[in-house]
Amino acid sequence: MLTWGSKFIFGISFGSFVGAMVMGLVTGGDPVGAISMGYKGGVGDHIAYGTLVAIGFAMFVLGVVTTISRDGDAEELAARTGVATLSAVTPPVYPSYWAPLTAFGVVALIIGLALNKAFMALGIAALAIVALEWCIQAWADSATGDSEVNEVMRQRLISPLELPLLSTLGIAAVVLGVSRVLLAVSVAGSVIVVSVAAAVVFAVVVLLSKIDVDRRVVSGLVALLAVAVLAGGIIGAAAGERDFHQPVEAGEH
Amino acid sequence: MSDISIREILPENVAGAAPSRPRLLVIGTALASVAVMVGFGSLLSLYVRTRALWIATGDNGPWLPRGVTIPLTQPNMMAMTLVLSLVTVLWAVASMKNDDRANTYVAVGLSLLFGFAYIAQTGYLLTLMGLPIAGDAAGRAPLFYAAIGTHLAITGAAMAYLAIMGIRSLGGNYSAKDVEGLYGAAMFWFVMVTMYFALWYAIYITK
Repeated sequence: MLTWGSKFIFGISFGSFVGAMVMGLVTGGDPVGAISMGYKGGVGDHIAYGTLVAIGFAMFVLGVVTTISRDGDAEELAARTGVATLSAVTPPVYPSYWAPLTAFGVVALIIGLALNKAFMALGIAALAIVALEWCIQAWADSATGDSEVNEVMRQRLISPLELPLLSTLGIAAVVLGVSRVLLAVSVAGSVIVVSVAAAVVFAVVVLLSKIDVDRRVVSGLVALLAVAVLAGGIIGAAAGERDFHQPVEAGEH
Repeated sequence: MSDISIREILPENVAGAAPSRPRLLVIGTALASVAVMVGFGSLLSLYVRTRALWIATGDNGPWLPRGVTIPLTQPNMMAMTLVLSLVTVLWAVASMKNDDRANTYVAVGLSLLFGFAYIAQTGYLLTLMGLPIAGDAAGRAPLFYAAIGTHLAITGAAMAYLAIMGIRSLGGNYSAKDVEGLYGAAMFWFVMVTMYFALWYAIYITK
């Protein structure tokens, strides 16, 4: 029957539905409307009522899932799946960058849909690469019981594609982001921006080659670059391009 | 010619992978689904509230701008398409539980086809509506497009989830003993279809 955890969640669901009805009544709704979810009569404040009803349905779904999974109880799940004991959850040994890269792709896609088709293409490309990489990683993570062997297998399979794909993506992201900024600022400003950007890239690369940097620091720098590219792209694309004056050749009037 | 194969990098006595703990993906999907439901429900509440305030004011004219109509044929066809997709998604899960891979691939493919059909019909409906985002409808049109567009994004996510689980099934990750990925994808698909019916009622039916 119902487990302890699911009873708690069903209780939240029930409380949300009751809360929605009370909220509907105290904010000027009709009793029939509050019960029938607005089918006949008003529900009072729509946002409060709608959000509470949504929470009620959501918690109901979660309660059903919790009941089916028996609150994650290892003994019951083992009995249901026909094994003596459940294996422990295996935490990932190597860091995975696919979730942040997915976020980058989604944000680039949204910016692209609103402002610029080039960003949309960048977002689609990033998401396609992530889908491929994540599938390979998921397969490799459970290929054998040895995480080192798994990583070697993943690299053997995907490295010939990974380096060129991610390099192309990185170059495209930087070019797109910086070019939007260069097109938005003045002629003198664009010279300053590109000089500073080039100097920063040069300094960081020299620094990374000279000292033994933790991989997490490199990841942080790459994430910072991704955010900077997106921010530059948004600002540049929203500001629009500056006016370009074509030089008039002598004799043409 | 050297024989480069995956066997070269496997040590002699490499241990087999431990079986994954059951229900992890399903629980994760349930949590994501709950977040989607609450977020989308709140968005629809905002839409309904804005519409109610607009109508209550009385001086603004009708909620739909002049010349804009929402036909019912397309939304109903979209609803029927998604209901059919529920059957094919369940077919994918059931056939994998029977280790019937051929039927799983056909069912996943058909479900994705129904998903594409839904997106195409939504595009056609928006073309028929011809609701301008600026001008007279500037206060209302963004809400229409936000609600419909958000559902399209949820549909895209559900399709991507199902497609990836289909690819993983093709790669041998799932079998009759482990259908978890397809369970998760089916659950999210059901949530997506449920969200459509909320959208259908709030926007297309009550207009």
